[in-house]
Amino acid sequence: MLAILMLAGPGLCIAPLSSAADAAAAQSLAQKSGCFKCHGVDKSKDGPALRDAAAKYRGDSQAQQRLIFHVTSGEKVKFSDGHEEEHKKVKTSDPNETRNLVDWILSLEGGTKY
Amino acid sequence: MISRSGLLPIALVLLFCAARGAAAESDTAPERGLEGDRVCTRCHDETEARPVLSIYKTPHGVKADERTPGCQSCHGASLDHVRNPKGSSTRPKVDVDFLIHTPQAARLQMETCIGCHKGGQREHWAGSEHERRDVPCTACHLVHASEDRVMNRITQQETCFACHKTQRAQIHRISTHPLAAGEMGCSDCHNPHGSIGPVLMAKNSINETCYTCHAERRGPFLWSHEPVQEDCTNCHTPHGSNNPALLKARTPWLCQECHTADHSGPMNSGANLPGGNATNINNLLPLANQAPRSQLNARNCLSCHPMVHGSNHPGGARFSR
Repeated sequence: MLAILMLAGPGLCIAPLSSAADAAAAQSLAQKSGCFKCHGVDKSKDGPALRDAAAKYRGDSQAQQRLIFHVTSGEKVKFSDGHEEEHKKVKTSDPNETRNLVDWILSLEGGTKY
Repeated sequence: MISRSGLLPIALVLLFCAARGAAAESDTAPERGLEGDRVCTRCHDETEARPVLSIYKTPHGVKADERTPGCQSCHGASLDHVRNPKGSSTRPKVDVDFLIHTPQAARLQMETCIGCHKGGQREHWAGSEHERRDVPCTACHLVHASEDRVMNRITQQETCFACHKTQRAQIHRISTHPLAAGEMGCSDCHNPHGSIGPVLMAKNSINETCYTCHAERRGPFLWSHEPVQEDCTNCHTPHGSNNPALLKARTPWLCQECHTADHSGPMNSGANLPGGNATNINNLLPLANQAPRSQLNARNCLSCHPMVHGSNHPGGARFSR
């Protein structure tokens, strides 16, 4: 049993890390794409705070797909004054970078559902 | 013929139109205060890759000064950028975008800055080297940064050397002005905003600029050395040299670029030297009995002519005293 734990131990430790988002890369892409112009991490601006977005989608199995579509499709978003604009698209052609950004957003904790 | 009573409605209409015009102008005129800036800082804040809000730590952020601009004073009203009328994911650019590097954009950027920053150091900006080559103000100045590195005479050299790479190499030679030591800045000698002198000299001429520090070379002298009075760079290279005293070449070669007939010609001729053999400090005669040309070989003109910048001694016609 001890031997099994010793063998499995490193794997158990590494597994969550390998699936975790690279926060630095995600923030760099977010900044490059201008996400922070409308979304603060903690405070809402023209768009909701990223922590609040994470809270909204917590427990939603489709969250990753929905957010990837949101940041890549240019779908219409409604502003507080009622006018609509196309949502900015992330400035990368690498789907892994986009997925990493979305994973980082969804990993943010402490938000309130809006 | 219009009667006096008929003029009144016309005057009222004209007055109304003038009032509307003034109102329209005030609608589009940029608001210089923090409230006016809010239309920009709503999106552009401390999360930007380039500093934005730190402009409030600079003279451009002193809102108590009525001359202080707001965001839209420099970047233009940029109504399309603010309103994004087409609702596209890519917002239209601001009216004056300082990140566009084209000659046309550079012209607009320069006019924006020079619109307020007239006179003084920038009196001769029009027609200056940097202006003619479409180098906008923001190529050197970090307007939003709390500390603009070119405003510090010690750190400004890295900005200058980003383009002036020859000079960057020269300041690391054996004989230099103490730029690399951090005791001088480029602006001690140059005015990058324009000058009536050559090579953007801070003063009216090269010599006048040199004399601000090297006043003892200025004269007037009883015996003056014309090339010295004419241009220091006849003999010196200001940014750095591998010869002593920032000289362009070693003596005697430097001197003999002009003095081809003195001592009868080429360096090794030795003819027309003062009589007698050369000696060393111990009064030995290592060169005795050798030809005069050997005595002159590798000798320094300045050993006998030390007052090469000019002499006030009655007998200093040959700058020997």
